[in-house]
Amino acid sequence: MKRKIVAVLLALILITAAGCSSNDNQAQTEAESNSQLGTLEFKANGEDFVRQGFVSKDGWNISFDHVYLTLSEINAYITDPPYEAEEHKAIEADNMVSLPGTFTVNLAEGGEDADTISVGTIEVPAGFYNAISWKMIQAASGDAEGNTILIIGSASKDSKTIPFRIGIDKEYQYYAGEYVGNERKGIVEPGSTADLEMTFHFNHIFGDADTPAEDGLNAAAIGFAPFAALAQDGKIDAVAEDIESGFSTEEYNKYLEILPTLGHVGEGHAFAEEL
Amino acid sequence: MKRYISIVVLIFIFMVNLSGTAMAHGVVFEYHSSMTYIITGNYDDGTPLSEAQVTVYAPDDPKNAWKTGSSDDEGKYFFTPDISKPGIWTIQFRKAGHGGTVNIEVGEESAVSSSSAYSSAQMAIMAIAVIWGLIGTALYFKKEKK
Repeated sequence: MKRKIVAVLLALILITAAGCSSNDNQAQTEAESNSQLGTLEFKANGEDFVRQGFVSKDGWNISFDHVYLTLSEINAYITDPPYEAEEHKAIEADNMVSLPGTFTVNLAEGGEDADTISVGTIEVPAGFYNAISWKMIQAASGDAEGNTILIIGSASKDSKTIPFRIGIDKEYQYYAGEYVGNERKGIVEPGSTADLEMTFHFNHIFGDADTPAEDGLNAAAIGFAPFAALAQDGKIDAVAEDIESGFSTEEYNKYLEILPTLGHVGEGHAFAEEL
Repeated sequence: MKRYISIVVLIFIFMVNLSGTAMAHGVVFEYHSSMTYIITGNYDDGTPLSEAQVTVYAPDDPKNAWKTGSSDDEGKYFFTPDISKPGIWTIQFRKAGHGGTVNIEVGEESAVSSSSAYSSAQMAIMAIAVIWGLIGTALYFKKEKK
């Protein structure tokens, strides 16, 4: 009897060990699968509004020579459940990859039909990177020094043309879910390249004549007229302090509400926190 | 400008159409079940996201659209997933530079969660506990025989 009991117990132990071993093998296989590498490219996009120019809600024909923007701490995530910016909180994910460095990019670079601006690439484990975060900070050096965004161009209306140089110094941390657009981005397959995009909607500041006046976008935008009012000697050269002192209180408050909404992922909303 | 889209799943309808199979007059019935979600897209000021371009991605092919369509005048889109494809389905609404995403988990949630609930170490501890229980039971009956 004693031998039978021992035999049964040994059998049970072997079965259990085999089960654990099977699970460990499965875990190992998953790890091997996840360790297959691909390339993730981070891009910044001011869309056709920046590349081709547009007419503001108050009729100014705006074109851009340079739109400098400084980005830092760019991270991509695999989130489950998917991150939703409408929940207004930071991204929580076990799987995060980072693009090291700080980058000042010119969104107007390359002309009307230029490709989206490449910020950098990293090797990452294959997977669907369905969330992204980044900081928009002041440039430490270069043409845009001291500005998070520096917009250089010209605006025309009624045969009047005003060259402008507008600086923005507010810094923001952005969190966003998956890209919303013509294609699905962020799906990295082994040995291949996928991209994620940080999109910036400058029509949120100036409004868009092609959009109905009553549309929420135009209702929130301040247009170009408040900037035109800052012109001296036929040109606008306004840094953050000039804008704060030159705008009316109502215009400035509206302007402050608009700035954090510049960051998007394609047409998808991002959650922004001021730094 | 807070100009994002709040996409709200308003109603979840689980429709079950049942009928029997009958032989009389050669009429044959079939039955099937399906579930349909009514997804409503609104701007954050409450205006319906009407006639928006809608793209649906299935969990087994995240790269390619499973279906495309458009919302109605009230911003509603009727979404009937293929229930043989469990997992997270993604539905994107887009219109004139505005867009948003809603993710809906379909089917087999419990099976998925139970398969990943315990680590190997936890499983080993549970197995040892079971074996220890068997030893105790065996010793109890052995003692009774004596």
